[in-house]
Amino acid sequence: MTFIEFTGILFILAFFAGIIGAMTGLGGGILLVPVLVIVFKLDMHVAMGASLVSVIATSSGAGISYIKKNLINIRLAMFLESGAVIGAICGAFLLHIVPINIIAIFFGCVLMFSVVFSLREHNDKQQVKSSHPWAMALHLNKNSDNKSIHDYPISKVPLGLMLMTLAGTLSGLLGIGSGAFKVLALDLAMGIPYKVATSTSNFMLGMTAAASAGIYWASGFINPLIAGPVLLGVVVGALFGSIIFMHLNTKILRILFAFVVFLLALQMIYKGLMMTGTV
Amino acid sequence: MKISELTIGKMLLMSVIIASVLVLYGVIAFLMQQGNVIAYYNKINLISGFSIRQLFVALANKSPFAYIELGVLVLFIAQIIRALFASIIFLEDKEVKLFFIGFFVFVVLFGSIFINY
Repeated sequence: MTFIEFTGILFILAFFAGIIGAMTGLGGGILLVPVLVIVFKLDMHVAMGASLVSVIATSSGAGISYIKKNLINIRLAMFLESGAVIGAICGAFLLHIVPINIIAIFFGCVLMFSVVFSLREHNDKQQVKSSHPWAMALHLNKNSDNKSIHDYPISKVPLGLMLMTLAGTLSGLLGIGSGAFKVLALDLAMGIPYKVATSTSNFMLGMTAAASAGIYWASGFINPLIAGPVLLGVVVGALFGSIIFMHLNTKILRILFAFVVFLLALQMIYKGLMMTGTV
Repeated sequence: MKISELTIGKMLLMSVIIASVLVLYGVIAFLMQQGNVIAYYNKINLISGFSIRQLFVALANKSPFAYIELGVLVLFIAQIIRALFASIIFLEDKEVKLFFIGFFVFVVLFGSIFINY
């Protein structure tokens, strides 16, 4: 395979990763990492670096139209992101202390249960009438013009913050974007409308990924010949994905999300088993 | 000028355009200079990127890799500016608690990108 062929394949792959990443709020790494490592036999760390670039590119590309459509709750995103970045720092410090293989297997299983719960929850979601006192005190429903454009209740804010801190810790420990945990925390724990949860997660993902970017960059894992086509493909894909996202109904998006998270859970369990030497 | 959510959207659009142009230029320049010199894609594993400090030297030498990495760096920096803009929005809205939260996120992101400069 020549370099041009490799670049072309990578661009197409990144394009689809961008579409799925933008529509599910998960970034694009889930599709890229396995293909780069298993099919193209690239180094795991180089693949993770490419995944990081794809997450940032998805977040930027999709963010443009989500902001325009007022789908992102920026106040809520920044509040929860503070927990995620603290978690990411803690995760980086805990890297050499905790058994990562067991954590990967455990959270892979948690994700699988969450997927089932996420699909079931759609039918019997509790009707929460008012926002949590923290949400009201911080005016998390308002935008920069102080208008209440986000007219939905934001419940269980402390739980959401705790889950985001956990998501950040996992991000630092396992080198993942942890978009799955973010969407699940916003959707299931805090009761945010699904499309807002997905787009707000997308907004947060870029910042969380940027927090670990420095380490990857310094370690030389941002390979320009892979990062280049990935960035171009993902940006174009994310722009398309965000347009498709607006026209799809929530039920289809939930099913797509569940399917992709199921794959992610399998990936995490496999990674954990690989580390223990079972596979 | 008042910064709003739409300003963040415009900044993201600009950063995506600049990053894409730089990366596209870098990839085309690499192909023009080297051709298909990396005949086998698995040799790509052997290529290592520049550190941020090396990047500026490489840019002066008009290295195609440097243009690609600069494009990626533009997108990374856009995430930091996004946090900064959000905290400015909170400050303009006199949401002091949210301003400190947003500014904390900005400081952490800024530190993490440039800590290994």
